[in-house]
Amino acid sequence: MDVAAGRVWEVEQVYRSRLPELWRVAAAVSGSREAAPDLVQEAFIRAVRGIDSFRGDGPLEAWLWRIVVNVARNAHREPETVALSRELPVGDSSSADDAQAELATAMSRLSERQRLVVFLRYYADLDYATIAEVLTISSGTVGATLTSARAALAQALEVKEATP
Amino acid sequence: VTDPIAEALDKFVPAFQSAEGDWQAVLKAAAAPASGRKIPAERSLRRSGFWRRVPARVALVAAVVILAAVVTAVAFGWPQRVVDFFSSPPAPTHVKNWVSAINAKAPPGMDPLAISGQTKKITTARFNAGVRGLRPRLHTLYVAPTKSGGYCFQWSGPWHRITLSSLGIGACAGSKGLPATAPRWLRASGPLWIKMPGGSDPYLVLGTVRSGATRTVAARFADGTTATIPVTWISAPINAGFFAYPVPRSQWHPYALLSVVALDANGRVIGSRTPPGSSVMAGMRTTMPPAATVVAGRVAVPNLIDLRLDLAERTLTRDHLLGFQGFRENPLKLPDNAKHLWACFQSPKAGKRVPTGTRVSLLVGRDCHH
Repeated sequence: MDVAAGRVWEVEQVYRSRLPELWRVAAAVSGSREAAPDLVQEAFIRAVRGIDSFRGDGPLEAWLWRIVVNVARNAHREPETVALSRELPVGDSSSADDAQAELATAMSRLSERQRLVVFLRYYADLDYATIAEVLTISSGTVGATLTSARAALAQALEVKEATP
Repeated sequence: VTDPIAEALDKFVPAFQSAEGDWQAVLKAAAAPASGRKIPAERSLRRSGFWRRVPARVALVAAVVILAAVVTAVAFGWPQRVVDFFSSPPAPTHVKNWVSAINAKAPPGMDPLAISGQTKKITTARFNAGVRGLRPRLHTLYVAPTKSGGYCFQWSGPWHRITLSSLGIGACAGSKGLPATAPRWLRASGPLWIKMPGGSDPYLVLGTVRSGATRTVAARFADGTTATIPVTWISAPINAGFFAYPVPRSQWHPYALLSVVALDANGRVIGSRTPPGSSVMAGMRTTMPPAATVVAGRVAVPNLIDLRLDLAERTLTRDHLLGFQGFRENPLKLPDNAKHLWACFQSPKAGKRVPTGTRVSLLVGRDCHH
C-alpha cells in the first residue's frame, strides 16, 4: 500500500466512524441541517482529491475536520451574494421555542471562532489539541475562547456558570 | 451533574440519529474528472428505476408534451417557453404573504406595490442554489405583478439555510424614480438583470430579460464556447423572461464565464453582464501571436504573457520551441484543462533570438492579475 492509498484508507475510517458528528458540525456551521450530508460529502471528495497536499505535520483527522469546517463556512457565506430573503421575517415562533431563540441569538453574537470552538467541542467532542489543529490556533486560545463562549451562552440562558 | 449549556446546545443542533454515508460515492466523485462528474440527483433517479416503472402510456403522453413544448419554442424562434400569466395557478398562501412582506419591508416611499393576491406559480427548475457543488434541487418561480407595471418574483427554497429554507430569494423590478440608495432587491431592472452567486467563478446564473426584442440569452465562456440559456417568457402584465442557468461544472474556474448576453434577432447586444471581477480578463489574450521565422537555426521568442496556456503551448510548438511550466499557485488546485490557465510570465523574454528547440519557461496560473 503506498502512502496516498494508506491515507485514503485513514480518511475512510474517519468518514465511517465519525459521520454523525461530521454531519452535526456541518449543520451547525452552515446553518442548514438539510445541507449537512452534502457538505460533508463534498468535503471528503475534496479531501481524497487533495490527499497529496496533506503534509502530515498534524493529525489527519484534524485536517479533515478543517476541510469540513471550511466547506460548511463557505456554504454559510455564499448565499449572501443574493439578498432579500434573509432580510425577511421567518415564520412565527412559539413560546416553547423561546429558550432556543435566546440561544440562537446568543450564538449569533459570538465571534466565529467562539462558535467554531463550541461546535467542535460539543458536537464533535474533540479535545483542545485537535480543535487547535483544526482552527490553527494554540490550545491555550481554544481554552480561553471556550470559556468566554460559555460565559456568553450562560448569560443568555441565565445559567450560573461555575468559575474554574 | 448536568450541564445546562450542553443540554441547550444538544437541542440547538440535535444529533443525527442515523447517518448513512456513501463512501464509494466519495471515491467515485474524487476519481472522476471535474467535468465528468454526474450530479447525484441523476444517479439517484436512475438507481431508483423510475424510468423503468413509467407505464408506456404515460411515457407517450410525456413525449407528446415535450414535443409540444419544443414546437412552441421553435414557433417563437428562440429557446423560450411562453407562460400565460393569468391562466397560471395561484401561488400558495405563504408565498402571497411573502409578497405582502416585501411591500412592508421596502423603505418608506419605495414600496414596490406588488399585488400579492395575484401571485402565480410559473414554473419549476432544478438547480443547485446557495452552495457550490451540492445536489441540484427543485425550485419554483413565483411572480406577482405590481401596480406600477413591474413585477416581483421569487425562486423558492430550499436555499440550504435553516432560516431561508421556505423563503427562497427574490427581487422586484419596475418601480420608477428609485434613488441610488434603494435596496438592490428593488432594482432588478434593465433589459438584462442577473444574479451570479460565486464571485468570479459563478455556478449559477439567475436572471430576467425585459425587452420583447430579445431573441437569445447566451453564456459566453473563455474557452470560446457559448451556451444558449432557455428562458421562460411570461405574458402580460409581466412581459418579462426569467431564467435559471446552472453553470456547467467544467466551467467552474475563475473567469471561465466571460459574460451573459441578451441578443436581438440581428445578433445585436441588448444587454450584457459579466461576473464580478471578470474585467481582469480584458488584459488576457486568446489569439496566437504571428508565426516566427527561423533564420540560421534561430527564432525570436514569441510574447506569451497573458496568453491562454493551450494557445501558448501551440505557439511554442509552431515556432520550433519547447515549453516548461512552473505554477504560480498550488498545482493540485489548478484545473487540468489548459484552456482554463494562463501564461503569466515567461523566460527568455519575448523578442530574444534563440536556437530552435530552446526551452521557454512559463509561469502558469488561473489569473495572472491577482
